[in-house]
Amino acid sequence: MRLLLVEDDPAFFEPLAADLRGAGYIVDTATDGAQGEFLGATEPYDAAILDLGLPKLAGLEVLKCWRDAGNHMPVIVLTARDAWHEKVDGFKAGADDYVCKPFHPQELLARLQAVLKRVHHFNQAKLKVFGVELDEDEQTAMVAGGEAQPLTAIEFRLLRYLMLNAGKVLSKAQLGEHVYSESAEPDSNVLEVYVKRLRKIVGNDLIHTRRGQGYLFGLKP
Amino acid sequence: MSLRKRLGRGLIAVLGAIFILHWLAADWIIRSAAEKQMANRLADDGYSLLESLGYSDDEQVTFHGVHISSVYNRRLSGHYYLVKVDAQGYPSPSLLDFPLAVEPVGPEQSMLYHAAGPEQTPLLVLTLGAVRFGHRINISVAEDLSAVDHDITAIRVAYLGLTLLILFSAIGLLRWDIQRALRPLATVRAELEQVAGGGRQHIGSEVPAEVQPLVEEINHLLELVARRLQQSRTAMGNLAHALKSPMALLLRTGEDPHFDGRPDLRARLDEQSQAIRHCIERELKRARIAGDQQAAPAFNPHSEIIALKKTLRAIYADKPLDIQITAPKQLLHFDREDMMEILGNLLDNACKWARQRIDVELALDGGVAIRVADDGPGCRSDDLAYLTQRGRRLDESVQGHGLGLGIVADIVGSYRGSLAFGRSKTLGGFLATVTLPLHR
Repeated sequence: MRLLLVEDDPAFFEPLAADLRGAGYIVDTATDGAQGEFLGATEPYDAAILDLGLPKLAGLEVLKCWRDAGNHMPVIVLTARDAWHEKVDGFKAGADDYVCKPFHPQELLARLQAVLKRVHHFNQAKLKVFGVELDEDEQTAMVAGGEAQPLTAIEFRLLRYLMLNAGKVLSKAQLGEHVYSESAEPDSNVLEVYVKRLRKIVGNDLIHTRRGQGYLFGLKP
Repeated sequence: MSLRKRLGRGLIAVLGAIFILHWLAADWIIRSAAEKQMANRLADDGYSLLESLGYSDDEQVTFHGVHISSVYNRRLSGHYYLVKVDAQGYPSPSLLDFPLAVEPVGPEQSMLYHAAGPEQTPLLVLTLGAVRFGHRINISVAEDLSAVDHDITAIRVAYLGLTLLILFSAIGLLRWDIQRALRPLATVRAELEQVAGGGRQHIGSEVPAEVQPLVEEINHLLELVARRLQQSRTAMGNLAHALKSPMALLLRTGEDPHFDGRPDLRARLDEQSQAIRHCIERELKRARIAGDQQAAPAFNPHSEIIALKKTLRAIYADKPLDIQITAPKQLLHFDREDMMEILGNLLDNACKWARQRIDVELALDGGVAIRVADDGPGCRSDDLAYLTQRGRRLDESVQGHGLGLGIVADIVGSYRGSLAFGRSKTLGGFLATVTLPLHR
């Protein structure tokens, strides 16, 4: 495994590089953003460890450059700035993980292993059943490859539960448990309204009513 | 009192005074003009009488009343004269026996004055003085003012009506004009309210010249506040950066093989560096809180929570977490960093403890209500009481619910909101509820 470590503080990256080499990785280092960006874009690394506060080119810019160029190399962002908005911005820029300084070397190694393990099959955000594709992050539904339609929180929860249990009859009580949030008061009539709305979105023949039993998501037999 | 009311009242008072004086002056002029005209007629009649004076053979002065108008012969006609030759008086037949009180005047003099006539009627009297045939002669001619008074009263009332009409129209127009002139101030006020609510960062500069310096000063102050926050945040970031690298080295030092034989030393080093680290993190985060900041950029809860969810799913990639979101798509005027800190810490805490499912809800009902629930073990009720105890530093009080909740409590406090913990009724685990007032 070949790693790229982009970090400007020699007191920091030298022992860290030593730790990584000790753990069996081949480590290249870059001490500024421009050099790091160039190395990351030209060499086939298995992963990069990227500090955010870098001279010449800021860490987030380096990451954006890589992602804009279609480089999907796993990147662990290393930073002393650990506010949540910064973490979120880091992930928006395409980071795979985030480690806040100061950290134990073991922590970084463990996270590195986890990222390497999952990065190749990490796409759990989409659910596709009977031609309906649900984006769990954006809370949108796409029907037969059409346009993504935004769902309200309750529509999204209801549709997802129906899709996860496609082919099974689900009682109203069961559905209610998975639909209501902390502030909403359960009311079974509301469910019918939401089912009606969902039928408008996914089509009438996907959600069936079973009298006295509940609802079923699936194709007509 | 509002400026509009004050200006309005001042204008009404000034206008009222001016119109009263104006009306009094006009009234006096009308009356004087009417009396002047009457006086001219009286003078004509007086001189006619004077012309008619003759000297009889028995050294008596005579006059011929027949030369003037017949109204002086009609009883109480309102037109009277009284000719005095020395002390001898010759009243007009219209006077009957009424003793008309007249003022004596010298020769070649005349006098115009008011007197009381028969039946208390007001009279205008003109007395002319002359010397004829060696006698002092005073001719007084009088006319009843009642009819003229009546006419004048009608004119006065009509003129008063007209004056009032003009007065009220003027007041109305001026009020409208004041309102129009003060409109920029109302705009500035509305914009200031928006600034206070976080709706905008500075107020508009299209205002009258008098208000311009004020607006510029306010904008200057707003900019200053925003810049100070930015500066202090940058300084905090730099300090964090400067402190954390040595901290990392310190942590690494604890891993040194030299300590392998001294686990007690390693533990002590580790413990103390962690304590310093927590302290630094806590205080740095606290210093970064924008809090009840007047000028806050907009924050989109829906997209930010989705981004946060993706982040947390990456951080907790080894856990099959199902994070469900309910949040409006509209913009909120809260400091993004503070909101992300609240949501991030609450969600991080939930991710730490949840078995599988987490519900995040951000609702707007009067204020902003954030509810984060998980299906984890929750918190024992006596621990909950401990968590919510006032003045208790949360990060010191309960194991596991670490630094994060303390920061949330600090931020919520600075927004004068409230933070409550309990058990989720739908998921069964921990429930944290934050409410923040919308209008600060």
